[in-house]
Amino acid sequence: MTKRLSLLLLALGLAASAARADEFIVIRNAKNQTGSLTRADLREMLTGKLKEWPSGKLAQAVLEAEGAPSLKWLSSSVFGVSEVALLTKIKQEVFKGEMKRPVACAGEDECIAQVKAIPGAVAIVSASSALPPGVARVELR
Amino acid sequence: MKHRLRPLAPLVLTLAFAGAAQADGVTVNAYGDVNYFGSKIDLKLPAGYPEQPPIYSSTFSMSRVTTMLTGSLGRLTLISENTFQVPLFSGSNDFLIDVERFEISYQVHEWLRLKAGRFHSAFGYYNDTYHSGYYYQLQVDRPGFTKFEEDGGLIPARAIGVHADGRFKLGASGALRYDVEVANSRGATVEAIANRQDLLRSKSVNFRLRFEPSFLEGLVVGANYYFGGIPGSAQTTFNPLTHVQATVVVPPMDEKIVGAHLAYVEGNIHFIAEYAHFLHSVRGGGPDYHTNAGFFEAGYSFGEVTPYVLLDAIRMPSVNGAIQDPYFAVAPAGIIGTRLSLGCGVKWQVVDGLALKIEAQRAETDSVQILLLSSQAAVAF
Repeated sequence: MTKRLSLLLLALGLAASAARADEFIVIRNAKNQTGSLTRADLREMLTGKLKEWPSGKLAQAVLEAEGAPSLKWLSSSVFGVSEVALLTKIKQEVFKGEMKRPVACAGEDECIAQVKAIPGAVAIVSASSALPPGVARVELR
Repeated sequence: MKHRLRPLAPLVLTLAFAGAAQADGVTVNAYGDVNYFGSKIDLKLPAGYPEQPPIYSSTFSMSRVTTMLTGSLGRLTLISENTFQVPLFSGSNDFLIDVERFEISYQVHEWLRLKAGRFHSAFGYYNDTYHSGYYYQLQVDRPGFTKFEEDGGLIPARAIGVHADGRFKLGASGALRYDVEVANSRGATVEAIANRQDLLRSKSVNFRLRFEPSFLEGLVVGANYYFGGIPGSAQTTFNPLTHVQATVVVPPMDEKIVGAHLAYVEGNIHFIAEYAHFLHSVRGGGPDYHTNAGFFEAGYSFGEVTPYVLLDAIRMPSVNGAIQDPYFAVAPAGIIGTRLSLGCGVKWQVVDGLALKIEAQRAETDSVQILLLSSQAAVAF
């Protein structure tokens, strides 16, 4: 009985963590042919180390403000740091001249619209967002 | 020499750029810090001199405000960083305007970015990581030899010329980043930056190579090689500690600097170590002067609070406390001379944009022992 209960709890735990991992996705402009990135590549792109997509498009971060669920997910699940620490890091890289200032967006619709408008844009939106033509998902390896 | 009016020129250029940069826009940021320093200085006088009581001082200090404009038009980027500051060794309480950086850069490819203007040289790790935004750095001040020239630093921290850098992925092993700079030579003194006119025809060259291994994301291992000339001049100096005025002849010299750095600033861990060896050779078969300098700082973050320790050392060739290298002897760095400093502190990032720091340092030089307590509120907006 105890063993069954443990297995059930483990299964429920795994399902919950899988749901959390799929909660948000990385999106790109569809003209950008790069369909997948490693998490390390994404971290480098969002902090100015990687300046171009493998396709050659100039990288441009599109981010929501502090407190937005997408930024929380990005900082905790991709970078493993607090939101303040991530924003400070990004601000410092802009200050250094190593990355272009992120384009700010308020709400997922605006983020998606910015990604559609900027060929090298990268943004985070919830997995349930409907992506219009001109915007595609980036698979994280 | 600081410019009092010339910053208007880059400002006008920046505003013109702002007018053109409709697509990406130009943004303005402000950086600054307010400090409180308390110190106790014990003079180490030669035998025979009457003993002097310690010198105590305490002061609030607001000596640096930076405004920074950044703009981009696709692959073209402009940075204009202008600082209002009271240099540590200026002997004045008046603010001077300094065009800290004015960079126009073009990202050709991942492996090639071209830059021209006045920039912070790609020497070591600290110099082009923290710039003049003290909010980002762990310590209250920049470490010894990486301080800006007028504040007692040794490296050519600013350069006027051209720069190229790029990054290559090395498969699964990591990435390699290079920086190459060709810039004006040193000025007649360390703190005299050759903004408008190089006193020498030859130019200085700086190479930096970095390896970023993939087995530990964030680790940076790098090395520098710099060579350039130093123009000859005669300089009158005044040491505020010993009240000695002297005229020093600085002969034309060749300068070579070799440096190495190791940095890991990732997650909760903060570790930076740098070393540099300066060789000044008097032209025409004169003597060589060797100066060694290094520092490390290490911290660990508990949430937004980061306690840290630091060690800072500079060794200059000296006889009875007198610096032998004439170029460094007349520099602000020469007033302090050979030194060893140990310290500890805490940085608390209160919110995004505000950091508070407290720090204690004990430094020993050829002529003084200094106990320095510092506190700082640094902002970045």
